[in-house]
Amino acid sequence: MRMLLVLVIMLLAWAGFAGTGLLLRDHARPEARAEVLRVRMPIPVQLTYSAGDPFLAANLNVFRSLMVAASVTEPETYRIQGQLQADAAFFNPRHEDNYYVGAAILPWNGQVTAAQDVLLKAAQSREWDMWPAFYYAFNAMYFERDMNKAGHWAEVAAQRHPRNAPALRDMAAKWYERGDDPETALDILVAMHDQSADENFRALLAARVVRLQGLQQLRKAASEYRQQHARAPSRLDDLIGHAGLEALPEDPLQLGYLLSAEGQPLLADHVKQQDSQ
Amino acid sequence: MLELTRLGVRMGLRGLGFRILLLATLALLGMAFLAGNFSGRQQLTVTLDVAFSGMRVVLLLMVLVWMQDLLARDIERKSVYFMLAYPIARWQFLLSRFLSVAALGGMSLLFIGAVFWVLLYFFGSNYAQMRPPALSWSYWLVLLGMWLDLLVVAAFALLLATLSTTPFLPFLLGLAFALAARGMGPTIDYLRGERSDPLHEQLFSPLLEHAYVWLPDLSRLDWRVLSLYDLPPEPLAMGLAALNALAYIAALTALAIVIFQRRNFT
Repeated sequence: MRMLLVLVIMLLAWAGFAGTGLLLRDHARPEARAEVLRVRMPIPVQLTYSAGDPFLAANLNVFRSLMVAASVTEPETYRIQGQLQADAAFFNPRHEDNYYVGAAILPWNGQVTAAQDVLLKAAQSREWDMWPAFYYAFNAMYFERDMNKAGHWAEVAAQRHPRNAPALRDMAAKWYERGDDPETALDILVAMHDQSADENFRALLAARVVRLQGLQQLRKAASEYRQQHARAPSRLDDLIGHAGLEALPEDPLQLGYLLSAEGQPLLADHVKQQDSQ
Repeated sequence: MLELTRLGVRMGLRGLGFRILLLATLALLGMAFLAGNFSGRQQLTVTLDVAFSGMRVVLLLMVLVWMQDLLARDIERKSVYFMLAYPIARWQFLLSRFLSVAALGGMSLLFIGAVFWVLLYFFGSNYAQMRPPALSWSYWLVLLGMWLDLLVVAAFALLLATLSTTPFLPFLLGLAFALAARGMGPTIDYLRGERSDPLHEQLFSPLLEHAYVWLPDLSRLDWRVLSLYDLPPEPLAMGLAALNALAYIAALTALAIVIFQRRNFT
């Protein structure tokens, strides 16, 4: 009798088990999106759960950043990823994957500050590696529009990689020139010209120097024009006869000069490039 | 005393410790090699990095377990009476226990380090890294730094074992001590950096900036960048860190001896 009761209980329990299993089988699961990032702990907490080991903390952050799938395009995930990578750079600035992933993903998704933080730390500590310096320079040019910074770090990158140095120096020169202060750019270009041993590069730099000097003349003329006429010039030809300008300066690179909408003389190719960006 | 030290080492090897060590080593190596696969551009460096982190954790636990086994448990079970009945001074007994733990720690570190070195050397990734990690003398220098780090924690656990009546106090407080001492350096850097919260800085800076008088900065003994990124050593900083650790060990051991000499075992 008792045996029968136990068997019935067992059967009932099994029926309950199988029945709930059947119901659960097709039940919708809560949306599990493990690949998005939501949590970033403060640095002391990260240190604690890594047993006080900053290198482990850096690695954990980098692993988490690497786990973000390419299909995730949500701003919050990128923001958290930026913070995780900046923390990783604090813990171990030399981490190669950290700066590489940072340069490839962060600035293109709105996390320019975090990316530049990671890259600057890597560029300062990885003295044998041109890439963080180069990415830092590129981001400074492209995202931050700080041409002096871009030129300086392209130059640093050039010093770290002799084979790529000519191309990098060329870039540095262009970026310096595009800074809106011809004085600074001129000083730097002249210094680079004097330090360079490569004839081709020296010729190119000399041309860029002449071109910038032309821009300087035009700007002087424009400011005198503004003082005399109390309005901005509307054409470049208006500037002839002001501040000793007898003819429009020749551009050895054949790209020429332009007037901006506010009547400020600019290098022609830079106006075009800035529009297209 | 040497004899006693040798006995201690043998006891440690016979205990659970050694088997745990073997298992932990295997788990650690597997973990490090898996972690290396997360890396896109520096597999070997990440493998080595994770392995160093793992060694520090595993060996920290081992050293504390040995300290608990060899000294704290003796005191708890009162078998220390029999030890002290031998014709040796109390300080000799205590020092020999510390030396045993130091020797055990050093031997296991060498063991794990050597196994890992062989594995990395022969089966490491064949991806051409921009700068592969240095597996020459700098690797062994990193292990030496790690050993000093372990000795500091062992000295702290020794001191606590002479004070406490339960064997778990040295173990648990030893863990907390290691965590605090290893994390102190980076925490100070963080508080001084531009990303810290001004409130945190106000609260913790006065405490941490003066912590050097009683808490050693064990992150200074973590020399792994030498091996990971093949950097040249900084003899001054490394020498100072080693001296700092040795002085701390001497101070704690001396204090432990004073307390142990006066302790009344009832």
